[in-house]
Amino acid sequence: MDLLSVTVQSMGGTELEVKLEKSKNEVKWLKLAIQDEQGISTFTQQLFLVSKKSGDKNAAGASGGAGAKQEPLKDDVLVSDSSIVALCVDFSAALNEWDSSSPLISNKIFMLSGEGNRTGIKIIEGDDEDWNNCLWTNGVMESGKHRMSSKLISEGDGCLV
Amino acid sequence: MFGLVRDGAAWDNDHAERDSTDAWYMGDSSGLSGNGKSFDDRAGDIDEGQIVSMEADLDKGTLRFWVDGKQHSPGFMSGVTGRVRWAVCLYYKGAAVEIVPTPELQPWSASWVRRGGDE
Repeated sequence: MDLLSVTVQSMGGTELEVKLEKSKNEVKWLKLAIQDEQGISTFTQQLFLVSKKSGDKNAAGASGGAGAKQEPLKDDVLVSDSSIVALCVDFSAALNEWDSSSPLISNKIFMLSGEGNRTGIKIIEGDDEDWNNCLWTNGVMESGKHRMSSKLISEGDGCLV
Repeated sequence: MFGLVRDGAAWDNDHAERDSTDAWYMGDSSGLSGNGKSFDDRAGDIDEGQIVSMEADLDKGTLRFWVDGKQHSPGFMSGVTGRVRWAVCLYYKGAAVEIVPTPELQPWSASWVRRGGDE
């Protein structure tokens, strides 16, 4: 099996060498490998290219110069052998998980699924009081600017208002 | 419904009422509800597979919405303050919402105009 090696630098100064199959050399696979080795959810990882193997024009950072690029690498970007990437952990993303302690869960009105409880599913048949539910996230915000995004996976057995 | 609720709000109440002071919501037909609104300022449907992004500025008291990275509805322009959490309210059995990374968002425009659609 052909492998490539990527060095991951943390903000704390530690380094981790990650081996990837050459056929799985996209950033998304690198994030999964980091998750497997370090327990850091892929969802919270932001990877920045520090340097790459010279002469690899197809891999991440082909147009970059010295130092880390400013934008996090997208999941479909290719990484090359001997690349060095910096790992930042977005803790605000970690706060954006549905609250598994909600009574909606214990009362079996909703269930959570997926990595980090990020998918909330309504599992009980409704009636005309069906808007009487409110599933919220773990994190409490009080000041500053915050962002959150969610995908409407399904409208369920009908259409929403 | 996607939006914000006050920390400590009831989990089993409908907060999408004009007289509710506990939530700032946008429904999937993009009407704004709660805190003086009741399905107001409709901006067009949100369909399965689409991503709703929200940005709260709790110092300025605003809540803005995007759908698939494009500005959607005028949002709440004031009064969004206090201890709050992101929240959803789902109507039908089987409805599902997944928290996802925020895509690139179109710059916010105060002169946003609804693209058309229902109502």
